[in-house]
Amino acid sequence: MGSSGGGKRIARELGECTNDPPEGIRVQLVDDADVYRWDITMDGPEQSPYAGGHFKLQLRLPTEYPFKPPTINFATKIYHPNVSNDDKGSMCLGMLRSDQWKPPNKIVAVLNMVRNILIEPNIDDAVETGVAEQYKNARDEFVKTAREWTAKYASGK
Amino acid sequence: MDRVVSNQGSLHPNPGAEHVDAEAVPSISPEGASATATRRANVPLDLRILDYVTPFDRNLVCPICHCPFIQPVRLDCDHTFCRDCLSRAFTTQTADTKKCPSCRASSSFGQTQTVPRFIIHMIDELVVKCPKHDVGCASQVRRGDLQVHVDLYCSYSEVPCPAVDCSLTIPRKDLGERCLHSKVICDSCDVEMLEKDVNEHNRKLCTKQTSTCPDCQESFTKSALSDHERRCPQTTIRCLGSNIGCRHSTKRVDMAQHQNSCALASLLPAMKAMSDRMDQQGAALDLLQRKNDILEGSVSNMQSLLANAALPLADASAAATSPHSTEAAPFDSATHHLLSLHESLREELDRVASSISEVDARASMMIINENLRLKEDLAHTNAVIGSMRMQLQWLTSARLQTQPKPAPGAVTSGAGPSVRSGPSSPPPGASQPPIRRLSDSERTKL
Ligand SMILES: [Zn+2]
Ligand SMILES: [Zn+2]
Ligand SMILES: [Zn+2]
Ligand SMILES: [Zn+2]
Ligand SMILES: [Zn+2]
Ligand SMILES: [Zn+2]
Ligand SMILES: [Zn+2]
Repeated sequence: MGSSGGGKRIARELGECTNDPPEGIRVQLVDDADVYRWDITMDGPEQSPYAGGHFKLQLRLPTEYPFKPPTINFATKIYHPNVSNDDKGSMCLGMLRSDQWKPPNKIVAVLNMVRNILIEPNIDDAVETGVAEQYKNARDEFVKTAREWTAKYASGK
Repeated sequence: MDRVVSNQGSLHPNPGAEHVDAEAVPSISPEGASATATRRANVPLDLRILDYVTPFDRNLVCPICHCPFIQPVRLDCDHTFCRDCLSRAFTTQTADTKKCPSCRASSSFGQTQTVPRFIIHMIDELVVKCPKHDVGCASQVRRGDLQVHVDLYCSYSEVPCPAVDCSLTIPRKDLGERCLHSKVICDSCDVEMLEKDVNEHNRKLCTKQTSTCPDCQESFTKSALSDHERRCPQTTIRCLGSNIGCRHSTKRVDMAQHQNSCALASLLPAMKAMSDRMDQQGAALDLLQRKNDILEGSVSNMQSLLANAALPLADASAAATSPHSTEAAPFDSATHHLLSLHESLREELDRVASSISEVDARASMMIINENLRLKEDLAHTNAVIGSMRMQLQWLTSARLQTQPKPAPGAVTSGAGPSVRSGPSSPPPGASQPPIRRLSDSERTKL
């Protein structure tokens, strides 16, 4: 099968995500002619210090999708143990790892996982160990900084 | 009108397009007709890009490509995938033991099994649009028949050019005696195209040539005309309800008025919903029918198995029973047959049970008789023993009287006790006192 088969599946998943989006998540293509790059807007979950923020994420699908996992980046700065604090904002954990990715996984599942991670960070899998340390030992300070960053970087529409 | 520029067939406008086309979805591109020109009628279809007309069950969808299964295979863990999807998932796994993409159960060397045949039938049954629907083929066929449609019937399939020196292809509907792959330029609009596309260009695409609408006599460019034809108020059209019986036809402008009052046209949505329902139910019925066929097949399998198993049983009890098992020949339905088989087995069982109890009764009768006989024998023997004992007593006492004064040492130690035990019933005629004395003196001695 050529790339067309994978493209068809992606188009179908895009249709599902736009017609029936998961809670607090909006999806659109960066470029209508390219189904491999998605723009995601994720609202900070109410029960997290990111509440009130609107975070932009970029989802890229490899040409081998669904045999290889998608990659996901926070374009909006976020104070979080599992998101790298650089201009990439990359995250790589759980099903996003190529050794844990399963082809039957769907993009919706990836988006939901990201949202869950905002509510409950995965400390054992942290990329920002300092932040993880703070999350474990000084939760109040972590929450404070995360709120400040949300207000500063993610409050715009 | 069109002048031939070159007569050589080697003029694909863009050599790269051939490569792109092999993978691209033959859709949206407006020059679709020429872009797909390199396809051969016998190119294997990519069934994953099809548009499905019938709605399909979610359980028939491959978890990897999200299409109804294409040549499905099953792993030991009972997960099913398209053959291609699975082998592609396996090639992305580096380890030697291949793992199921869904549950990661490792399967021995990635070995697969076939899926039940009815699943194949169900997916073959799904109706799809011909992949050439975007260039004009209106056919909708069962997916299982699609290859045949594309290879043999579809007028839009690309078939090899009839010219021997030309390696290009042409839609079957345009197939003629000679090669149509030379470039021509439209006189009116100076656009360059292949000769095979000239008709299409003149009919619809040319931006310069004009023609008049036969219905309203206005003139349009060719590209606008086809659009206009769909809207021209003067064109005579048929009532919406025509396919459920309305014979009325009038100009498009007047049609709205008719349709407002036409009962058939206003019935149309309801009729449509009903016929959709009927189609759905027909499809569901087909499905049930197939399932039923399968079930009936397995029932008759079981039935023959059962018949084989019942045969030795019948042999064993043949002596005691009438030949019931053989008369169970032609029954009109499998269930009926099974039931009657069950019935005859039950009767046989009853017979066996009654003969067993008969045998049981006979056996216990025999035992009682034997017992009585033995008891009599025993009594007889007892009587004999009693009389023998009396004779012995008598003999002993008689012998003691004939030897009144024996030497005390001559009396054996064993004789004493046997004599002493005896006297409870002394034989008549034997005088007792000497015995007593003797035994008394013997005792004092001891
Ligand atoms: Zn598949
Ligand atoms: Zn499995
Ligand atoms: Zn066709
Ligand atoms: Zn040719
Ligand atoms: Zn023209
Ligand atoms: Zn007109
Ligand atoms: Zn009518």
